Order: sequence, then structure tokens, then C-alpha cells
Amino acid sequence: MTAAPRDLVLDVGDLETNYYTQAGVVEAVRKVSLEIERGHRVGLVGESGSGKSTLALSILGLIEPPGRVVGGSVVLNGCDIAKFSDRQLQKVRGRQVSLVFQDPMTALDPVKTIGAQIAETILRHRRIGRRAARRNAVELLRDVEVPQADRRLDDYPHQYSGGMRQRVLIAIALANEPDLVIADEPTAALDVTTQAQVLDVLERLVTERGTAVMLITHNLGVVAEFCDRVFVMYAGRLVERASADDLFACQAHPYSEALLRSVPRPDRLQRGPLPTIPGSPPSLAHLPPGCPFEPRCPVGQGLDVCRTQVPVPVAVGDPADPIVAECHFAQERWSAAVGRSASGGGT
Amino acid sequence: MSMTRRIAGQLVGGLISILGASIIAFLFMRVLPGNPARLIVGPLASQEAITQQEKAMGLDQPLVVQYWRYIKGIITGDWGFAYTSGETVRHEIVARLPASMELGLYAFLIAFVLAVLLAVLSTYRHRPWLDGGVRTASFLGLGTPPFWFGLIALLLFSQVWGIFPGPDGRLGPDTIPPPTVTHFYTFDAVIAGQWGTAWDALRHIALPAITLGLAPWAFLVRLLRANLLEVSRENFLVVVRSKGLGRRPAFQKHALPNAFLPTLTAAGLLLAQLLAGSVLVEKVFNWPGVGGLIVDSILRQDFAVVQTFVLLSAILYVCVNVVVEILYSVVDPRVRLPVMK
Repeated sequence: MTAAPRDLVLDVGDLETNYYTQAGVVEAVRKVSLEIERGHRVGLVGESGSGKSTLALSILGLIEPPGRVVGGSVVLNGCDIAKFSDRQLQKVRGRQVSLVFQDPMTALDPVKTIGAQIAETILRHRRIGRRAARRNAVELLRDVEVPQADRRLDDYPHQYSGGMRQRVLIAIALANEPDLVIADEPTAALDVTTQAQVLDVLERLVTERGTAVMLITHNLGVVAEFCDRVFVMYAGRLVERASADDLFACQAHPYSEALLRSVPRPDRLQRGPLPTIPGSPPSLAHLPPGCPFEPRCPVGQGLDVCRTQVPVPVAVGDPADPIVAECHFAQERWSAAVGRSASGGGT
Repeated sequence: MSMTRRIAGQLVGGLISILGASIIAFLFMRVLPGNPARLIVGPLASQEAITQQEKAMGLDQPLVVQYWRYIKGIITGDWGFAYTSGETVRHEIVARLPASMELGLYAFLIAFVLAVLLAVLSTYRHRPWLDGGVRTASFLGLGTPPFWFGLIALLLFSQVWGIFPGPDGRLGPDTIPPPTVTHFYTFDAVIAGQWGTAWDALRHIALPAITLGLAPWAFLVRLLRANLLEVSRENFLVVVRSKGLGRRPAFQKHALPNAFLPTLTAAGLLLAQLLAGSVLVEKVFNWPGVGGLIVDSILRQDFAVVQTFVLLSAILYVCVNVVVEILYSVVDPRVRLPVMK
């Protein structure tokens, strides 16, 4: 079986980002590698503080002191932009790769009009006049389904609701038809109905344009709906990667399983507290010597191998499209899961 | 629409403040112990002479009537007599207030320009040296009594090094004041084309203006520095950078305008305060401003002067505030435009 050469829009290799704080060096992203194929959508899931946003900003080269990208490569459309100067990166940001920021209430400049903030990114990357940029901005606002787009172009952010502001952020990110959009929790601050609407808009637009998306979220429901592949991030590492279908069928890493269990599902609400993952993520300034999830892990808690040895990535399942998990028990867990479904355990 | 209403509201509020200030100034001067009529006629005058003098000054009338006369006088331009000098109050104030206002204006300009410059330079990039220096200087600036600073400045820059002239007031003893247009010597000299006089006036105003501007500078630089640091952590700057803008355009177009808003209000209040004059700094530099006049007038119970001055400074405050309010609505859309839905 010869795998066709994959057309990668993004290929991140061994990316490392540290924050140099007074409390010590915080290793927020620890040798992370991931690839995104052109036009594909991947989800990056994990708890708060797992390093998701830092990874996103590291890819964009927007880590500010006291943080610093200390190693690795970020190959975007064949160029390693990790080696670029800020001046070179400015031509890439907003053009080839763009960001949909997480908190719509604070992500727009309060004293500039919506139109000016959309036009800013257009004018930065294209040789067109202000009028053309303005027409372009109206179209973009229509695309993200802001009603009365031409009239609302001259409004200010405070005159927009949260959902509408998030649409504006999507319009800004898509303005120059980039190859990759990094959407950092685009719906976290919105109510459920608005979330669904905003995601629909994003989905329609990236499908129309064939844009690849990296969706950062802690909402696995959103991932199930939106993504082809999933990366699960924990303590600065991608502890499990799989196609979305595989991951929802079987979680080779106990952390992924715990994450999935803690999604509230209205169709099977039980009495009592919602399931949670006990404990909290380890301090990235003082990582435990073994598996970072060991202290909270229902499988390996207290086991010597988990306490002392950092798990290496293990590939299980279909060799052409394996599930890769950093867990000493990945193989066992996968076999058991396959056994369960083979013996008719049901879905 | 809503902007005109806001400004109208400001003006009405300002008028009420002015009225309040006039009532307080009026009452205070009456409540203070002592009798101006007696002071005028002298210690040896008879009771009859005093009563007559009181009658002439209207002091025998009820307070309401006195107040009404005072307001009417202010509006018709009759600000009364300063009995200590025998001049009209108007003459006294016109002779003195411009000197204070010129000094205040320069002090404000120095404070404001240097505050903006240093706050921007010390926060735009990580410059520990400059930032530390600015912070120390502003800390000292807030804590140093201006008259003391003025004396030290005179000692060093005038006495020891001779860079600036001594405390001769607005001009050197050999310089003739320029023809009056604005009452500000530096402006009038330039208008008349008397460059020598302009230079002399500038040299004379430099030290007192720096002395007077020190505390406002310290206040503004701290405020703006804090606001800049706060804004530079704002999320919208990350978004702006993710559009492909460089650090500098992002700072200039987005961080600075946002950080500037609170500074604007503070600067307006400081300007009003500075224009109204300062007693101690004027004394140190022999500046013929309004400060000395007011202190003397209070001590001698020269009603008319004090009342008029209080009223004028209230009007000045209100005007500056209205201007600041208008400026604010221009730069901050959140003030100008209502939230929809």
C-alpha cells in the first residue's frame, strides 16, 4: 500500500514554547508535532491550561515575552515560518493563516468601526483602494450573515451583540481567503443557540472556500460535528491523535475517555453531579517524572510504570490511519475496546 | 443628536456649578470675622463713619439683596472696587490673571507633552532603564513640594550655573513688555516681531513652568503608563497582529488611542487647575500672577476681588470640562453612540 503524498497545509514538528516566569520555566508546548491536510478540519481539544492557545499563537509567531518559541518547525505551505522574521511573518499572518480569536467581547478595538477593522486586514494584504476594501467588507459581513450589513459597517463593536462580534471575527479571519484558519474556542463565550449559528456560518464559509481549519475547543460535541481529525492535548503534549470517528468509537488514552465522559449529554442526564476529571492538570513548571496524567488517571494511578516512565507514542488500529496515543496501556485498551464491540457490546 | 443633548446637559450642570461656587464664595467672605468697612475707614474712625461706609458698600442690606447686586454686577461687567488698591477689580484681575494663565499654559504643555512622550517610550518596548527612570522621577515629582523644587531649581540653574534668569518675574529688568494683544508676553512679543523680548520671556517662564508642571507631569505619566500597559495586554491587539500588522502600527493605531482616553479627562482637569494660578510657585519666582493678589485680598477681606476670582475660576473649570467632554465624545464612540439591542 503506497500512501499518496499528502498535501499538507500545515506541518508542525517538535514545536516547543516556554514561558520564563519568576516561578520558573513553564513548558507550555512540549515538542508538539501535527499535520493538517489542505482543506481538512482538525480539532484540538483539552482542558484549560493544557497549552492549546499557546500552540495556536506559537504557530502564528505571536508569542510575546515572557514566552518564547524555543524549538521546532512550523511548515506552512512548504515554508518553515518558524524561521521567519516578524516582518516576513506579517505577510503570512492574515493572508495564508489567520486567527479567529476566542473572546468576541474583547477581541475588537472598541474605538474603531467594524468596517475599519475588517478593511484593515484587506488593505494590509491586497493592493486595492479604500472603497474597494469597503465593498469587500460589506460582502464579508453579508457572508457571515450580519443583517443589514451595509448599514452596520460603520457601527462600533459595542453596538454589536456577542454572536455578531464573533461573526465579525470570522469575517476578518476569512477576509483574504487564507489556507488555514485557527479558530481558538470561537464559541466558548456564546449561548448554545448562538454557538450553533456561528459554527454553521464558519462551516459553510470554510466549505465554500476549501479552507483548512484548526478548531481549538474543550467541547467534544463541537468536534464531533465539525472535525475530521482530533488532537487531544494534555500538559503541553498531544496525548492522542485519531480520526474523529475512531476517537469517538474508542479512546486509546484514558484522558480522552475522561474528557468524553465529562461532556454533558442531555439525552442521558442522570441524577447527581456531572462527571468530572478529578484533580487538575499538573503545573507545567514542575512536571512529574512519568506520565503527566498519572496522578489523575483511573487506569494507571499509582502504577510504577506510569509514575516513572514517560509514555512513548503507540500506534494502534489501521496502520494506514492509526490512532496514536501516549499511554503505556494504549494497545491493551484498544484491543479491549475492539473486543467489546466485536462481542456485540453495541454502540 | 444625543451628543448635543450631552453637551447641553454639561452646560446646564456647569451653570449650576458656577452658581454654587458664587454662593459659597459670597457666603464665605461674609462669614469670616472682621468688618471690611472698618478696615477701609481705618482704626481711628468713629462708629458713625463705619456705619456710613457700610451703607455705601451696601453691607447694611439683607444678604439676598447683596448677593443679587453682586451677580448683577458680574453680568453687567461691574465687578466692584478693590478697596485695598483703589482700583476696579476688573483692572486688578486683568493685570494679573494673564500672567498666571500664561504660566499655567506652559506648565501644562510641558507636563502633557513630556508625559505622553515618556509614557510611550517607556512602554512601547521593554526598556528597563528608561522605565525605571520615569517611574522614579514621577514618584519624586508627586512627592516634592513645588515651592521647594522651585527654590532648588533657582539655586542651581540661576545662581550656580546661570542658565536661566533669576526670579525677576515675567521679563528681565531691561526688557520692555511687548504691545498687548493676548496679554501673554511670549505670544505678544512674537506677534510684534520682537524676537529678543520673546526669548527673554521664554527664558523667564521656563523655570516656573517646569516647577509648576512637575506634579501634573508625574500624575499624567503614571496614568498614561499604567493605561498603556493595561491596553497592551488587550486581546484586540493579538487580533490586530494576527491580521498581519506590525508591532508599531498596532501600537499606534490601536493601543495608543485606547490608552489615551482616561488621560484626556485627567489632562483637562489639570489644565483648568493650572490656568487658575498657583500661590507658592508664583511667590518663589516673583511671578506677578493672580495667586498673590488673592491671598492678600483674602487676608484683607477684599470681598469683591475674591468673589470675582472664585467665579472666574469656576467658569474656567466648566469651560475646560465642556471642551473635554466634547473631545471625549469625538474620540470614544462608546460615549457618543448608544448601545443597540
